[in-house]
Amino acid sequence: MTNQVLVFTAVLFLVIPGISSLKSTFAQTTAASEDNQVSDRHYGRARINVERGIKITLGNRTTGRITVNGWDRDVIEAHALSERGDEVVIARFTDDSAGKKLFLKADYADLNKPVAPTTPLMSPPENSKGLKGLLKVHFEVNVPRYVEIDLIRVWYSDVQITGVQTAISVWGDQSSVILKRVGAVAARTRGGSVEVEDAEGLVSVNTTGGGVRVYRVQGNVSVVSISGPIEIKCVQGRVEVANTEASIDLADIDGEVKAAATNSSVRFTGGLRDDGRYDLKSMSGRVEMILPDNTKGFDASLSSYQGIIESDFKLKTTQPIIEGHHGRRMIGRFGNGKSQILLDSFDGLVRLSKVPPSKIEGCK
Amino acid sequence: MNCEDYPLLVEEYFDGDLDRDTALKVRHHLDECPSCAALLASLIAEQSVYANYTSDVEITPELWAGVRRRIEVERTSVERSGSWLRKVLALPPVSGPVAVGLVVLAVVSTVVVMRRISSTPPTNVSKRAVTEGTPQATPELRNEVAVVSPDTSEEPKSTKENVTRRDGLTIAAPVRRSPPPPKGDVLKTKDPRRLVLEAEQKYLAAIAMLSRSVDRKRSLLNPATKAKLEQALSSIDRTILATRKLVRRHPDDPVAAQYMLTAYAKKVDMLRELVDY
Repeated sequence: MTNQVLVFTAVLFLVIPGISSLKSTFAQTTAASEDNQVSDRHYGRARINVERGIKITLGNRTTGRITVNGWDRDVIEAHALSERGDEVVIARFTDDSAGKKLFLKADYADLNKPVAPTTPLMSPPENSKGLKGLLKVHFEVNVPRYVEIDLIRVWYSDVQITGVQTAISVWGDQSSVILKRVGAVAARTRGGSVEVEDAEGLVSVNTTGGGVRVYRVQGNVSVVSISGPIEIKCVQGRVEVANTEASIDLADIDGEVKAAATNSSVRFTGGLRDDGRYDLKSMSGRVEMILPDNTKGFDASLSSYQGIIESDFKLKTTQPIIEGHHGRRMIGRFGNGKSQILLDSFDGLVRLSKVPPSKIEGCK
Repeated sequence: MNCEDYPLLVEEYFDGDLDRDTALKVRHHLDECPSCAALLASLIAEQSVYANYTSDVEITPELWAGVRRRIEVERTSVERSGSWLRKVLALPPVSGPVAVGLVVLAVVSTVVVMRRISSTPPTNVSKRAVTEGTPQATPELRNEVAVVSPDTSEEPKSTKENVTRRDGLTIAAPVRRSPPPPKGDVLKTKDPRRLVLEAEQKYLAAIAMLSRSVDRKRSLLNPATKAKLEQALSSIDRTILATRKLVRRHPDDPVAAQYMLTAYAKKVDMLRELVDY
């Protein structure tokens, strides 16, 4: 019986390398069949010459961050790194009817093979605490400013993009998204925060629970959230914003403003543009507009069904002030009446405040 | 409870989601309100379509026989694999030195094959010699993709927190100039579905309150205005119903929630206008 077991063991030993050889052959065949693309795995830093019209797709095998910086060179430089040091960059170039595309992805290096660290790893390596699958590979990519970037789809990877002139789209789950000096923006997250600064085009942000901060935008801005606080400052275009449970804070908006909240406050601070329209509403939160005391003028409608109305500006009422059981409403004019203000809350305070211009931060 | 509230409740009544008292009220209302009864009838009709759809699928005896045959085949194959193992172990006895020789041969061949596999680089792996942290010094062209020598003169600063490597080198991290965006940490812990539901309840409470005031004024309205009012309100109710369904399907979608809450807000606005009328 012992000899039979030995023979059986020998057979097993012969079978294992056989299967391994087959698997290896199969893998090579698969790779070869995909070889209508130029594909490579780089250890550490990869530099790739590109030209206008190229589109790149970015990915990360891990939950490490993705950082993209625009620069004035016709070169893409991608670097994957972790607490272990350099990791692997996968670069796959395709050129077909859809145009030139470059797929870049951060991956683990196989540090057990110093001669060939780019060998793909089937399972994630351990991090410094000995935990498998928790090693984050961070991906840093420098790109020409003109490069088009495909939708970046991430779950936990934070994304930061700076200095790219084209439109940026990011869908994240718990990822925080920071976009600075970019073209148009479309960002969507579930719990991650979104920060946009110096965007040239339309900015559209939808988030379930992440905070949103938008600064200095030349185009229009649209933000919708359920429970993330929203802060929007220094926008040249129109702003349309809605929140259910968290505050809306707006300042120095040149275009029209439309803000609606359900259970939270809405606040606008800044000067008014002649013939600008400002529509701030909340179901049961406070609605406040803070204007410099040198404001030239506006027509205002302030209303609250169950709350209080307050105004630091003496309005020349065009209609009698309704003050009774069925709510309060004040419609009046101040100065030249060129801007239009509509503040409304169902059962919250509605307030039109006046402050010295020096108290208003402004956009610098 | 006002008539306008019932269409919203009929669906929940149909789903069996209402508590006993509310369900009883809805049932009484259905007896009196033809439009709500019609809504319930349409829900029942819709349900029966789906119910009939499943019951129409009849499983024939041939199909059952086929399933049994396949189960039998799989069982037989499992039994066969067990008997194969028994046959291997029941091989004629082999002498000790032959068995040991076979094992040694197998181990040696395994080691040789495994070494060969590990020394062969994968087809899509770069064959360049790599120094840690040093990029390629020689430009390497691959069709239109070129790997060029490094030039750090224009390197933008890296971002976020530093990464300290095992060799002690700290990889540059940027200084974050602006404070982090506001975090909804406190609210984030609350389920967005619950938050939207709470917001919806607020609107419903306001609608109920305003509707009472409007009802008192309804008798003062002329028939034409009254008809227009009913039409406008039922149009908003349809929008509310449609957007509620959307929110049920996508409970985490802030845009869906916003559509629904805007529809409620429209109704509140309209009722407030009527109160002031």
